[in-house]
Amino acid sequence: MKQWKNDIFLLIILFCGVILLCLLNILNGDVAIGLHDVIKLLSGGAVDNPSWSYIIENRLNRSIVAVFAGGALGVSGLILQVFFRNPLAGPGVLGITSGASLGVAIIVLGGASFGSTWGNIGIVIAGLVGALGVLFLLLIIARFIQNSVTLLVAGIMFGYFTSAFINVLILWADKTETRDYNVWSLGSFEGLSSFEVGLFTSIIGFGFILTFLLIKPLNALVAGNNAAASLGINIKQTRNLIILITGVLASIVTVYCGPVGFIGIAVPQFIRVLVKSKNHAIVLPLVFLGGGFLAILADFTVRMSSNALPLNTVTAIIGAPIIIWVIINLNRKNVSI
Amino acid sequence: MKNIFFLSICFLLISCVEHQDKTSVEENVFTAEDRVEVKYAKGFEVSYHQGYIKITTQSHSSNSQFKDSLFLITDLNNNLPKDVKRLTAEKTEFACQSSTYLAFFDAFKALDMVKALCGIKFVNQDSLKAELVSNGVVELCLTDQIQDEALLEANPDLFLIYPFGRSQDNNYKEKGINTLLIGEYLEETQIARLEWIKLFGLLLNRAEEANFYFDKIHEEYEALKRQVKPIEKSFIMNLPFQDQWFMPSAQSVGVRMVEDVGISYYFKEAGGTENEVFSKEAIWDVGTKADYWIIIANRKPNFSLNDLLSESPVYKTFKSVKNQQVIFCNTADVDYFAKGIIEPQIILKDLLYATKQIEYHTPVYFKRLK
Repeated sequence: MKQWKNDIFLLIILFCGVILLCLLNILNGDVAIGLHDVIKLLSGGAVDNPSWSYIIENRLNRSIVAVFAGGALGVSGLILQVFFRNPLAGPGVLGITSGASLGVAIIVLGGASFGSTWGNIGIVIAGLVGALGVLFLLLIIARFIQNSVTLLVAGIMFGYFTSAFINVLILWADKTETRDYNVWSLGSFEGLSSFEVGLFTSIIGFGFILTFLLIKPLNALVAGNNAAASLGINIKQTRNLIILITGVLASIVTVYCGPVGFIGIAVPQFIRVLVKSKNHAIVLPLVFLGGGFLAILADFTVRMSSNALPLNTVTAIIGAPIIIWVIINLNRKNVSI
Repeated sequence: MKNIFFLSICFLLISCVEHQDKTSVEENVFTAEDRVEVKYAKGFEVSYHQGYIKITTQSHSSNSQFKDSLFLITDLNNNLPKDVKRLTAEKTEFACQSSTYLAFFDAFKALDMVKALCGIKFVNQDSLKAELVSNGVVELCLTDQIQDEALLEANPDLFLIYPFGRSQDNNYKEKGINTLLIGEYLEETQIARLEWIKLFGLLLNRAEEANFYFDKIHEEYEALKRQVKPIEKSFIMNLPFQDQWFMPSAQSVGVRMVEDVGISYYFKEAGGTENEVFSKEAIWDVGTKADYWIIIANRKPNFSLNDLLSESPVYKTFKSVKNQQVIFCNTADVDYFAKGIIEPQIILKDLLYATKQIEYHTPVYFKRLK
């Protein structure tokens, strides 16, 4: 009971932390807009400077995008870590992000623009196909390889392969397309219109709700595939659902925000340290909020540096030490990597 | 064992390959009759000596530190040391690291002297690109990296290179290729940049034509400037790049060129010679106050004000957009970065027309967005 209480307390703390960081992100920036004006604008009123409503809308949108993107990456990392039974699995490491990047690269370096409607639709579909394609290939390989570390290496190889392919595409592309792709690849939670934010949050929200269908299978999979099967879990169905959910979550974030690194691996690990419960009914929402917290913290840091720091630099500074700590911990437990 | 011995011999032979410099049997010399005088450009100097002309290119701001020199032989009996970079007036063949140099060659109708270029596909003018292709110009670069084999194959008499990020100048010397650092982009005024045509005139042994071209354009430019009446209006520049907005330095050619039409830069107080980076929201705030918005960007043909608004709806709050004072140079349509260097008078006229200071003109580079 005490453990349950602690976890709920952590959930509340993280939720409050996310809200607090969102408020800080909205209230701070290069243009000083007073709290009174912010409240006025958020309640639909008008202020003297007409650009301020766009500035506040932009800050609000990027805060929402950061929370949902971080949450989605954290959750897909958690699911993949349980399914592959490897604490270093995640959308970035397993090549899912690279697959989405390849899809985006084919469309963008092929001449489609991020600004046009058809370009955006094409980019979303291509990113999704790329991510799901890599995940699907990994699962085929997983049938022949039992060792999860080897599978991880296969994922890294997919990442290298897609990067090489993207480099070839860059050689053929013109300057503008290459610039567009490079800017996208630096990662950012900025630039989505209100309509896109609505679409983005709806897809992630729907994906997150679907993850609750996985609570029971994930709880069982912690003990391994055979144990889960003996508990009546349909492994094949679970695997398909995992492909679909993690592929959609990771690719939608990658398409709209660029390949954001480290959150997908670091957050589930960090939350596991804080929470003793193995029940994914509590771990999933905590990881979502933890991912959101880390992402909005990273975005706030980016903005406070006057956008001098790229998003991926900040997530790496925060996330890499956590991953190193995980590797050291695994070594201590004599788990081979 | 036999194989190892054989391979060792092969390696030894390869390492003993002798490199030969480009030689010519009969050497012509440069003429020193038509002298060039550098009045505005800070990045190069020309001095005349017994038997040779010395060209020195150098940095003149804190951005980068470099100095380079080349000797043009006017008399074969000169007392120059053997190891200096020299050119005789044979039909000189050039390689260019930047396509901006092409405009200078084109002004002399001497594109056929260019044998290799970095980034042929990025040449903006279709006619120019077609001429380069039909001349069999060698592509020097894969992405931004110079391919040494391509350069050696082209075997130019002079490789014109830009100074930033450069330390391998001596490398080329070892390979028998003369280089000259060209820092025309570091000049602070359009006229100073234009004056680099004198340096290209010297290299092509056509100093007289260079002097004539410069004087003519300079005169036209100054005559236009005399028509300018200073107006109490401000301008901002360019477009954001993701969340950042790079505003050119107040010392930059682009800003000074716009100031030549009598309007003042919103960020004129900013020091230094490098672009200043602002967040997008900071410029959104300023945009509501600045009278003019000058944009130099690559966009689809016939880019309109509505297209600009579709990039971000916040632009409709900009004073310049409300008053239709957005002046746009579409680098997809015009060769602003190359040909624009040798046609500053047309750019100035465009800007005067766009700011309604002259009545009759057909804009080339800058047009008011409608």
